[in-house]
Order: sequence, then C-alpha cells, then structure tokens
Amino acid sequence: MLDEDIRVPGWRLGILGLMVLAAGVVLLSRLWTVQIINSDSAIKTSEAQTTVKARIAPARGAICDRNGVMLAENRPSFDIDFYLDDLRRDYAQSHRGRMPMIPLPDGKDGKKRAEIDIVQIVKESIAPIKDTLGLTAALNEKEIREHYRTNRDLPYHYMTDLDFATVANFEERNMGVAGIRISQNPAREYTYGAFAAHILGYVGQPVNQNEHLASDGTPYETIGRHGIEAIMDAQLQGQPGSSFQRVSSQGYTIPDRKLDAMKIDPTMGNTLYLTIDSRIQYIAETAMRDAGVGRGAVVVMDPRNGDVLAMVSIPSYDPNKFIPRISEKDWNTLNQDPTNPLFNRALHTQPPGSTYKIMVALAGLKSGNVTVDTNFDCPGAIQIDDHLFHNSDSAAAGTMSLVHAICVSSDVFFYQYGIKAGIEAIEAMGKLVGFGHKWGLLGDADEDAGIMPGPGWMKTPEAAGVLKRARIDHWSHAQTANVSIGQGFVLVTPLQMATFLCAVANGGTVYQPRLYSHVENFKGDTVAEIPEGQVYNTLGVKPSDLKAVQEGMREVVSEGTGTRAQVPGVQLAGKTGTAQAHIKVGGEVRRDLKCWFYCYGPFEAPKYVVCVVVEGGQWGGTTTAPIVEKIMERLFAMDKGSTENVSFLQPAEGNFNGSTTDESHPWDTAAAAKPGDTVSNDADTDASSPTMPTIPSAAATSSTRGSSSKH
Amino acid sequence: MRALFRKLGQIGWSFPIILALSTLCIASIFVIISATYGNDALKDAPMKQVYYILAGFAVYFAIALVPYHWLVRISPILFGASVLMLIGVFIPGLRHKVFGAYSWLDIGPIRFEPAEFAKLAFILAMVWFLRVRETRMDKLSTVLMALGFTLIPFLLIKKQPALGSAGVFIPVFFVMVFAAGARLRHLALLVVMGVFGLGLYYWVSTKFAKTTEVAGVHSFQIDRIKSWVDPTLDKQGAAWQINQSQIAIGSGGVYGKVPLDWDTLKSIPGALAGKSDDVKSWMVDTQTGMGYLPKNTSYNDLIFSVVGELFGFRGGAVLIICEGTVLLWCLWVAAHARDKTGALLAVGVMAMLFAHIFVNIGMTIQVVPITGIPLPFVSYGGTFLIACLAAMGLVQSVWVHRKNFERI
Repeated sequence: MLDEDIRVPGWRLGILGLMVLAAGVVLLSRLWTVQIINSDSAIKTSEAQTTVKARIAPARGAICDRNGVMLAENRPSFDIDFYLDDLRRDYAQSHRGRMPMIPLPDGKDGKKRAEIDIVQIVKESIAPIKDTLGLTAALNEKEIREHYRTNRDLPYHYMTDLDFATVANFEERNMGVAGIRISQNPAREYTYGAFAAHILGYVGQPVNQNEHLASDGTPYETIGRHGIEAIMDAQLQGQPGSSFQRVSSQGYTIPDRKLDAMKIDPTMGNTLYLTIDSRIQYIAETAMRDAGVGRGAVVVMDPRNGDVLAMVSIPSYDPNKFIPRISEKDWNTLNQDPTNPLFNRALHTQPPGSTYKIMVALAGLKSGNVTVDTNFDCPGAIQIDDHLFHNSDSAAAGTMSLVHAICVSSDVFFYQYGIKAGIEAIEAMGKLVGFGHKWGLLGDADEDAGIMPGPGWMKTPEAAGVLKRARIDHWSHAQTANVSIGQGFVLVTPLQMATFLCAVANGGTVYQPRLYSHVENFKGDTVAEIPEGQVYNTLGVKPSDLKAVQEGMREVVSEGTGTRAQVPGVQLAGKTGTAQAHIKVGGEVRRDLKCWFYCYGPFEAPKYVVCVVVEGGQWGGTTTAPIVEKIMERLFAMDKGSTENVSFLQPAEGNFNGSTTDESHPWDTAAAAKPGDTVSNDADTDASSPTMPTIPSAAATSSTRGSSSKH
Repeated sequence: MRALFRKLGQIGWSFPIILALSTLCIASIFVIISATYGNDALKDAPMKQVYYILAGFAVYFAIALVPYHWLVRISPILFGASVLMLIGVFIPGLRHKVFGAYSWLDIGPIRFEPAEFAKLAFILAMVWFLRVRETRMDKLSTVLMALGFTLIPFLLIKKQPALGSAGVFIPVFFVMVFAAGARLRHLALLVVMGVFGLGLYYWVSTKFAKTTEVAGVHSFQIDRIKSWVDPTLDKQGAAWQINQSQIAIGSGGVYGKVPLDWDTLKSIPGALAGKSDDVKSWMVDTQTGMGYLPKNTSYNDLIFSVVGELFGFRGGAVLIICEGTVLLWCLWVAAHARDKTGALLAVGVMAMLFAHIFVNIGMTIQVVPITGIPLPFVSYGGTFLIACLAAMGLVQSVWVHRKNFERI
C-alpha cells in the first residue's frame, strides 16, 4: 500500500507553490513599507525614545550694588531629581507591565477611566534607598501627579539643597534605581539676608507649567516675583541649556559621543547694577534697627544726579526664605503680620505734614504772589471759611517772615501764605516735582502715586471717590490751608519727598530718580543702561528765592525744630514733619503719628539727601531727626575713610510701638475744649498746646495695603 | 555500501539547499549574539546554538540516509509517544515552566519541548493515515477523521498554553489533506464551519456572559489581536511589542545598522566566548542593544526584528528568500518523490515550516498578530532547531530515495 506509485497531482503542488510565492510577496512588500517607506519616522521614533533631553537650568544673573558688591547671586544646590518616565519604565520592566492604577472620574461616555499611579511607583522605587539616605521629605502627591501629566520629561525636584553627606551617600548606594539622580542646580542666594529686601524682592517657582516659558518652551525654575527680581526678570533670566543622553529601555544611560557633542550650555542671566551703595544701605538699615523703629522708611539719594543710594523699609523679611520655595507657614506668617513686612514703605504714601511746607514755599515764590519779604501776622489761630485754624502751639507769634516760619514750622503762617500763593501755584509746583506721580522704580504695581490735591486734581476720576467720602464738592480756602501744611488730602511717598529735596539741594533740577544704572551680560559688556542724571523738570525758582528757602532749612537744623539732627562739623539743611493719622490695630483705633525728617548736606555742596519717616513716633524733630543724624554722621565719616562692614542682616521686626490709644499727646490736651468742626493740624514744635482732631478725608485716602487702615 | 555512497552523492547534489540552510544557521549565530547582548542569563546562548546547529545537521544527515518509509511505518508509535509526552507536561514532577507556559519536559538530564517533536511525529503519522485512507480521499469522513486526529496535539498544546505553537497544526492539516487529494468543497466546508463556529462562539460568550472575556481564550490573546489591528491603542502595554518591533525594523532602513566588515566579523569569536565587549561597539546604540525589543523574546520569537534592524531590508529580504527557497525546494522534492508517501511527507514539512516562517516574520511587521512561535533555522533554541533540521532531513530522505534514484 505504502509503496504504490501514486503521485500527488501536479496542480495541487502548483497551488501550494503559488501560496509560498504569494506569502513571500506579502512579506517582502510589507517589509518594504515598514523598512523603506516608514523608515524615516521609525528612525525618528527610535531616536526620540532612546534620547533623553535633560534641561540644564540657567543661572539667574547677579544683582550688584553700584560698586559691584553682589547682593543676590547663585550658589550650587544639590537636588534629588525624579525622572518619572524612567521610573515608570523601570517599574514596568520589573513588574512585567503590571502597573498600579488609580481610578479617574468617569469619562463623558460613562467609561471607567484610570491612570498610572505614579506616586505608588515613586514610593516603591525609593523604598530601597529611602531609609539609608534619610529621604524623609514628604512626597507632594498632587504635585508629582501634575508634573507627570504635564512635564514628564523634565526632572521633578524631590529634595533640594542636600547636604554633602547625603550626596556622598547617594552616589555610593544608588546603583539600583534608574530615574533617580542627583543634579546640581543653581539656587538664588541673597548674600546679606534681609538687607535691601524690598529692593531686591524675591523669586518663586512658577505656579503653573505655562507661566513664563524660556526659549526652549519649558518653564523657568525660578521666576522673579517681587521687587527688582520681578521687574528685571527678563534681564536676569539666563537661557536654559540642554544635554542629551542615550538611555536604555530601563533608563540607564549609555555613553554616546554624538549626543555629548550636541550639548548646549546654559547661559547665565545678565548682571544688574543698582545705584544703591551697599555701605549706605547698610548704614540706613542699621540706623533704623538701632533706633528700634517698628515701621518706617529711609531713602538716601544723591542730589547731584538723582541716584537712589539707599532705600529701606521697616519691617523687612529675608528673601532667602523663598528659596527654593517658601513654606506655607512662613508665607502665612509674613502675610498675616499686621505690620506687613512685605510692604515697601519707601514707595507708599503717608501724609507728609510740615515737610510739605518747603514745596509750598517754593510754589509761592515762583508764582510771584508772595515774596521772601512777604510777612504775615501769626496769631494762635485764624478763621478761614468759617473754620478756626490753629497753630500747633496755639500761641501767637507776631509778624513772621518765610525763613523764620520754616525754621519754627509755623502753621498759621503757611495757612495764610498758601492762600496768598494760590492753590493753582501749589498744585503746579507739586506736579513739577513729581508729587502724585509714580517714579516706577520697582514697577507701578508696587508704588503709590500719592495725591497732589488742588482744583485740577478735583476733576480727575481718582479724586471723585475721595471727595465723595469727605463730602466735599468744591475747592475752598480751607482746603488750600490744609494742603499748605501737608495735611488734608496730601499723600506722598518718601521717595517723592527725597526726589523733591534733591532739587532743592542742587539748585533747582528735578532729577528722575534712578535705582539701577546698567545691565551687563556675562562677558561684561553693557547691554542696557539708564543714563545718569536724567532731568525730569527744573523748579524755575529764582536763585535768591531758593537760597532763602535753603537758609530756612539750614536754620531748622541749626536752631529750629530739627536741632537733634545736627552733625558736628557739617552743616545740614532739613525739615521736620509730624502728620496726624490713625490706624486700626486689632480692631482698635489708635493714634499713629507719621514723623518725618528730611535733610541734605553738606549745606554748601550737597552730596546726600536723606529722607526718613517713622510711623508711630512722637515728633519729626525728636523721633526722626536723631536717626537722620546717625545716618548723616556715618555717611560723612565714611567719606572721610571710616569703613562700613556690610554684613548679614536678620529681618527687622515690625511693631506698633508709638501708636497709642492714649490721647495724652501734647497736641490733644485741650482737644476736648475745642469745637469739633475745626479742620487740620500739624505740629513740629515741642510746645505743648491743643489742636484739633484729624480730618476724616486724610484717613480715607491713605490706603496702605494690608494691615494698617488709617482712621 | 555502494548504496550509502550513492545516497551521500545524492545529498551532495542537493548542495544548494544545504547552502541555504547553512547560511540561515550561520547568520543565526550572528543574530543571536546580537539579540542576547547585555543579557547575562543568555551569555552562552550563541555557543550553545553552535552545538545545536552541529547536532541538528548530524540528525539531518542521519535521517536523510534512512528510507522514509521506515519512519512512516513506525509513525503511529512515534505519534503515540509524542502524545504521551504532551500529557507529561501536565504532570508536576516532569514539567518545566517557561514564560508562563508549561511547555517543557524534564527527563533526567534532557530538557526539551515535546511540542516540537510532536510536530514531526504528527506529520509522519498524518502521512501514514492519509495513505491508509488513500482510496477514500474523496469522502468527507476521511477529512473529518484527519481533523479529529489533528485536534489531539492541537488541544494538548493549546492547554499549555501555547496557542501559536498549537495553531501550526491547522495549516499542516489543511495542506496535507489538500495535497492528498481531498475534495475542495470538503475543505471549504471546514473553513466556513470553522469561521462561523468561532464567530458564534465569540458572540455567544460575549453576549450572554456580558463580559469581554471569552471562555477558553486568555485576555492577553484578545489584546494581541486588538493591538495588531490598531497598534496605537496601548503603546506602553499590549501594543508595546508590535510597535517596538516595527520601530526596530524600520530604523534599520535599507542597509541596517551593522556594517558587515572585517571589524564586525572579527568580534564574533570573542562574542562566542562570552566577551560581550567586542559586541558592544556595534550593538550599543541599537534598539535591540538598548533593550527596546523585549529582551526575553528578541532571540527567538522576535528575532526577525533584530535581523531587520541590524541588516536592513537587504538582510531581511535575503532571509525571506532563503526561507522561501527551502519551502519551494520541499515542493520540488514532493513533485519528484518516488511515491505519494514521500510527496506528502515533503508537503507536510513544507506546511509546518511555512506556518512558522510566515507567522513569525509576519508578526514582526504587523501582517499577523503577535504569537509565540519561532523562526525556523534562525531562532535560538535547541529542540526547535533540531526538529526543523530533522524535518528537512525527512525531505532530504525523500529526495535521496526518489523515483529515478536507481537510474542515476
């Protein structure tokens, strides 16, 4: 049977042959498609899946003072980074693709949805090294999930600022976990702590992944959030670099010279030079701290060009707390502090009190309505528009000249002087010197414009609300009288006052204040600059008139209200001011006097303008003038060669010392006896005599952000 | 003695096919060196494969000299033994689990896959059966009996579970029954019934059980079919293999990634001795070398992906042509066989190899779904390689003992 000579029909074998040939054609043509037609995209995909692009964080540019002293710079921070996609891949390999999943809310079609539980993977991945390395930092689960969804190719910084022991330990033991690496990243450092904190500002991490992207489309690690860091962020940011690495499917890197050559180094951001002199800043910072000031500001300027040499706001904070990110606790502490340490008092407004009289004096002289020789009789009080206006000491002083009136800071003189000069002249002069105007040194958002009241201001939309609250519908002499002594609606910033005083000191040129001079790239080439001494306006006051005002200010220090500011061997010219204000502290309304003193010196050849305001003091002449004296003394000593050793500063603590519910201030001893309809007051003299309560309008307009709302 | 020399001469005259087989086997050593690069557990695999090849050719020549009728005569015994062995893998003491399937048998020092042996025994037994039913080939009953005969190893192997390996029996059955002269309408009826039956089974089990699970079918098998239809569905999961395979092959382009120059060839002896550093220079930045092809299948089931990546379209096409040549030679031998027994034997071997080759290559380039069957003469693995060369030995035997043999 088996050996019978029967053959398989040839056609059946032929069909099988065709089947083999057809299969060959199918395979070859499909291979052609896969390997020739789709080759480019396959090469691209294979490159993409084997290449990990690591971003190299750029370093922020430094911020230096005018002499090149670095105030903000970078230090290396060792971070533990998670490469989440690598961890995921490694996990998949070692668990045969069984991934932990967490359910998501059902989709629109009612289907069950789930995503990979990346947090579980991270937990299991770090478990073997966790205890030996002491990786105790809690995992921010929400952040890891968000990072995995949006930016899984970028490393997730799990721990930053590791100490060297941990780094060494890690390098030694972390052989087994792909996707966990140590990287060195630049971290911001503020060399002197709370020093000039309000100028420098602080940085933060981007809130979401689309905020402020670098040239490579990835978000910057740090973003300037406040101060110079914020407004000059574009200059300070460097460009990120990138390195490329070949990785195996398990996340191990494979050396590849071709990819190494593709590395792009990050660039460092530009260096910003401030006009601040760190020594002067240090003098101002320490002078305020030494005096125990709980709230206040200092501005020191160079009257010859308008450069801001120091700008201090008390209380302050340490911007290093924001590196790498501020803890919620610290952030809440800063924000809930009623003294508001984040708030830059040098750029926010206060009623200026008598310091304003200098501007009024110049306005009158320029207008020609009054002259240096126009004298006024100065009784204890005068009647203006049905209101009785008192002098601060309510004492009759007889006939008085302008120079003497500045020296003793006579309110009654300036009521009459201001009315005679005319509110239009005062408003014009105020505008000329920049009152009611934002200088924009640290961005408009962080600065108040203040109010330069007058008929012109009354027509502006900003004034409408203020006027409505104060129930005022037309300009009156009483308003003018109030403005003349720096009360009423008047609000100025310490910077505005200092800028104005520069013009008085230098003979009439209002310089645009300057806080930063130029920007250099990492090669040292200047890439942008603000020229020195840009003129904003000129006062247009006759030199002899200006001389008279300067003389009055010299007398303030030599024999008037500001004698406590005298510095041996140097003649200063200044003016005191004490403005009434009330604040609410813990629901309790307190009297809170804004005590000003601003001066310049040396009188003959002015070099420094110092403007200090202390909130919650007694008098400009007693509270503030001694601080100015300390500052001036050290400034001149420094010029003579004494050294200032700038060192790390702790934040200045804020307090409400000096604000009081106690109505026993010398002003108020007779207040009860006075009719309630009187308007304003201001006092610099030590004479104790009754005046009147504050006008309500001043309170309504002066809004200080956050804590203190003046009553 | 004279007959033996004659037979050897006959084998000598079929040197082109021996050349094709040798080419595939020698190339396979190079491919296995590449595929096991960086896989410490398989450091000695290339050297082992060399021994397997030598053993395989020894078996090839031995079988070629044996008159195939003898083997067909004892085929019922061989088949019975293989069925026993297939049952043996379910016995806890004897079985050995590899990648989730009980497909190996441990007998003393020998460890092998009975399924591969069963394929050969099945072909021989099927030849025997078809010759027994020679006069009744036009009856449906013959076809149905052959089918029942086929289902014995099919079901046993599917139970391991190794669906791919089990599936090979189906085309072998069809091809052999077809070649034996079954009526086309009987075969068509079986095809229609099979398709309809599977469809009905799927519909009933999903409809009434209200689940996506189909009884008797593993969910990963359904996933493989889904990802074959649309590989973008689950790139990190079920479709990982099919995507990575095509990326590897596609990135090979026309010429592949490994230069076939002296430096490359020089590194082979070192690699065989287990020094992977020599291999590193040309493997380090390949998809295979970096582990993007699953390391545990790239040396056997997905070996064509490695060939495609390293040797490009050129290498892949040569491989397909070589394998095709082997298949066509089997048909050639069938056409020139002394009798129907030899012809059916050659056709059966052709069908078995064809199923492996087409499915194995096809699955790497998305022609068929991924399943776990190796590529004849190329994939790493002793049992399978020896089985394939033994099968070719059967065909060689048919050639040696062909009709006009005495006349030469």
